[in-house]
Amino acid sequence: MASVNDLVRQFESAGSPLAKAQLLFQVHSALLALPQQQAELTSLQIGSPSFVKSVLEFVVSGEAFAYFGLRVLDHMSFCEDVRRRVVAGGGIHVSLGLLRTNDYELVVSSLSALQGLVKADNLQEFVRCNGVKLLVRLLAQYEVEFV
Amino acid sequence: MLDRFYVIALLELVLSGGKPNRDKLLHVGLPALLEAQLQENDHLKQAAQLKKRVIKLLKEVKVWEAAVPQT
Repeated sequence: MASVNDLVRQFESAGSPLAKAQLLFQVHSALLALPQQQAELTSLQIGSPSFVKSVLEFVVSGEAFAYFGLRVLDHMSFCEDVRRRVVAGGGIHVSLGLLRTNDYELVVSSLSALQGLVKADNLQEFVRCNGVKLLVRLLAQYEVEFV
Repeated sequence: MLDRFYVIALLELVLSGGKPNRDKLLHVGLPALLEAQLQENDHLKQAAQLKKRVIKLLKEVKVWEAAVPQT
């Protein structure tokens, strides 16, 4: 079985969106299989600014299964350094933008990512990017579908 | 249902973030929305934990609302 580092390398050189989504799914599965401390170390190892940037670009591309990217970022953000990189790369802005879609998986993955990314140190950025209005909008509408 | 858990958790975080954020929550009509959640949405009946959190959030927002001077 390929290591997480190999999967990340393959992701960065993969051509098709579907191949990228599959690789991100495998990265996420591999992180989930690790004990928490090891997952954090691995996240720190693979969560370079360039990988974070590539995943964010994949997420905003609007391709099917883009939410796999959010799940990977969400999981890697348990590691504080990676969380800061994701926030610095525009993770909050990207996740908030995806709340406007009607894709339930994407909305839930975005909310989960936001919960991991937004802390006291960047709460104002969340509010400034209309975070409160978008949350209230979600609360006011019926669910897109039940899980 | 899962989306509601995340929304409530994020609203709790915003509420804990000081006066400007609390004022913003009042400005967008959060108390009325939470009341509506409790009264109208069937799925809350199936999620006791979520309902408890909505009630707690509503109480906190109302305390803050009462503290704001009426103009």
